Amino acid sequence: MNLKGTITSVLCAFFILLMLNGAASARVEIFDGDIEEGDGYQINNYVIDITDVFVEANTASYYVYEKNTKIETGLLDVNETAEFDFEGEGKLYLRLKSVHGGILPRATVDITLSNFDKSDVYSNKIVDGGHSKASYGIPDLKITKEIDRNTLNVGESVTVTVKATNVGNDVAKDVIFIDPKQEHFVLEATTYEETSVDEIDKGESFLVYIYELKAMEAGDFRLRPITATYKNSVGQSYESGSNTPAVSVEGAGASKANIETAMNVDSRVLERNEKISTTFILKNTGGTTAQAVRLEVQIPEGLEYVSGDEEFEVVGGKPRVYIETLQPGNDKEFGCTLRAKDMGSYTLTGKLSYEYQNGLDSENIKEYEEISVSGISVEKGKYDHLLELPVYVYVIPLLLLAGIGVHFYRKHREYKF
Amino acid sequence: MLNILVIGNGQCGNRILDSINKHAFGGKGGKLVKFYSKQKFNSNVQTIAINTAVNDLKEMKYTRAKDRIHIPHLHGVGANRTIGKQVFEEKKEMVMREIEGRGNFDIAFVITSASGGTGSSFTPRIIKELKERYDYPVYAVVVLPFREEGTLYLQNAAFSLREIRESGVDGIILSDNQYLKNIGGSIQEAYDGINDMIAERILFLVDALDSEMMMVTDLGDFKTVMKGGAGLATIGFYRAEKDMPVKTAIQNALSPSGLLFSTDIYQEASRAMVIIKGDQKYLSIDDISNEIEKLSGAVGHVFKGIVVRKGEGPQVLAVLTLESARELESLYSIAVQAIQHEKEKKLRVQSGMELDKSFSQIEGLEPEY
Ligand SMILES: Nc1nc2c(ncn2[C@@H]2O[C@H](COP(=O)(O)OP(=O)(O)OP(=O)(O)O)[C@@H](O)[C@H]2O)c(=O)[nH]1
Ligand SMILES: [Mg+2]
Repeated sequence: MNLKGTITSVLCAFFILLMLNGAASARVEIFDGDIEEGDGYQINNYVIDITDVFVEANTASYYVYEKNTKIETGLLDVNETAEFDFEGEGKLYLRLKSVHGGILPRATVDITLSNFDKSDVYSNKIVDGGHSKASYGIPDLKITKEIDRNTLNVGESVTVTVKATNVGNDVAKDVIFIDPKQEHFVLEATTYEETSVDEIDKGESFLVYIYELKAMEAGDFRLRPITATYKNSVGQSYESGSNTPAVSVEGAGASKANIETAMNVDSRVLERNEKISTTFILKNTGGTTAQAVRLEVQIPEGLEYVSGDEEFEVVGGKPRVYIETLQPGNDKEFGCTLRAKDMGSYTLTGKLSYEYQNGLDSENIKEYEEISVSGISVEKGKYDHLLELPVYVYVIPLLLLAGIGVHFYRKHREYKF
Repeated sequence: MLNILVIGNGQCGNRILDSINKHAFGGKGGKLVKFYSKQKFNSNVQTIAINTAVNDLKEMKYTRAKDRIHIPHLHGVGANRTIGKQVFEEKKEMVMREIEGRGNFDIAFVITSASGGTGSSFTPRIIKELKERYDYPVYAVVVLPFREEGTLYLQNAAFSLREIRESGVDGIILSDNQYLKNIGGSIQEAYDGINDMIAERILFLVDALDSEMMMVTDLGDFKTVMKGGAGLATIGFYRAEKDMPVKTAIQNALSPSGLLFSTDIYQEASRAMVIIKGDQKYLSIDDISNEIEKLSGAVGHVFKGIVVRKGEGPQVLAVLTLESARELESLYSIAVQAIQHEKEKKLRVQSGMELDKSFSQIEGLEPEY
């Protein structure tokens, strides 16, 4: 092995070492140029202000700020370099190359950075007027208004979820969300609401609202955007708005209660004293709940009410049924028993009334209806001849019954409110 | 014999009261039971139902007409406690005269929902009047709403509970619809189920307080227990269907399914009273003592009473006063949000009025082109 070979390999090793070392501390060029007195140079959150240029002395003074906080000041001679820490591990170098006089004195500088990945430099520019005019990271709230369905009927509700994600490169501070009132809808329920927050960090998401809107009118609408105002880390203000989801509301008869009725009797021809069963069927074929449903049975002279399902109550001699609500699609059946008192032909009538909310008016809508079965005829009874029997045959059982009756009547009075 | 007054205010209070009267006829038996049977109270129990809504009073089936007091105010007060308070102040003497007419009492219970309008605003005021006029202890039985019933009810619950506590009441027995809602069925069935649970417990309690008891527990002990903790209490209960060791019955009464309100009694209870009833053959004193000891390990002193009833299966009732109620705290924090929310809604409505002002500026003008 000759000397030349040895030297070559030593040199090679030396360069490799140099390169490895260089990779770790390689400086990247940030800026090489002129900065006027009073202006600054911004790298991310740092601003180097050139405060004074002294041409005669070949010097310039500088202040370094990290977001409005002064971290370093100094005076540089031409060809001198100042260095300071940058975002933790990084180092920032400021070399004064030359100074120039004139109406606007300026300094030619060279700014480099080491131990820092250049791709992490997101802001890198001359700032007119120095650090006080710099804008730093910009928070950016992306607000989404999501809905769980795009089409619904009048009277139905849509669930709205509002979220905000900070897709900017600074924290969003003092965030306030404003959701405007939504025409054509009313706020039905709020499940979650957090309309202000101190901070939303970079990349962080924040849940603002979950609420339900009830559609009041048919049509195609866009939900209004929710807006947010917020500040960046140095108190500069920003604003953003959400998307405006489209909702289409269909109005086809969704908000009407409609009770269909049927009334049946088990026979139309009966003898005196015979009983007749009547059934009523109420079915809500509408799209909304019927409320305060009242059915009053009008019993003609020659018939009398005997008993009925427990829903019946007798008010002022008239049996009636009251149900608080009848849901759409539901039906109810009631029966009662009547007795034929006198011979004749009669008509039995049911008067129905109910109310519902149509979702638009604040007042309930009221409906009335009448149903009837006519041609119920009462004829002479089989046992009518028994009426001709001696009196005592009736009197004893009647007295007994009367006793029981009085007891029941007293009890009834005691509990009748 | 004890003289006991039970008042039910508002729809919820009325219904629970009606259920008490129903059970007093001896449990099962249809609507007609009142025609052929007598109520089986050990004590002199007077029940009074008070409401502004006449329909609620009409719905009652087992309570005498003279015990249903209608305070005339059209259609109830519609969950508005401010109106409720007004109506009560106007009709106060009418209400108090009714109570006065029933004589003197040894103990009173006032039952209400916390979240409606009538019951929740009448109850604190009635209690205050009772405490000022008489010197018997008064306990409130308060039903908390389903949480999904909306902001208005939650607000009402928060404010009325505070007022009841400040009324001079001797203790509040909590029952929570939300906690009991898994009774299932329709809302009406759930209400009926809950009402029956509450009624059964109250009847058991007043029956026991007026019975011959072993290991003596009496009204005095009940008062002592109710004085403990934060003035809040709940009741656990279990009635064994068939033969069952008394030990298991006690455990069931103290388990979540026996309670009316969500609480971990081993964490939150501060005093307790346990009453055990049944046939002699179930009442093993050793088993009872063992089981009660476990409870007193966590809670401190436990009053116990035993009522011997021939032929009855084991039944256990536990009255537990709480020193803290996590569930109530969480209800309040929801309620606070609800109140905030209502406020903001109002503001929004007002800003709508601002808009009207803006509109009025162009009144009488025409667009210029
Ligand atoms: N457990 C139970 N809760 C009920 C019952 N009825 C109503 N509630 C609850 O009570 C609350 C409403 O209060 P109500 O008692 O109906 O109101 P009120 O006192 O009659 O007052 P207004 O109707 O507003 O004048 C709601 O939280 C209901 O869930 C019932 O029968 N049982
Ligand atoms: Mg009511």
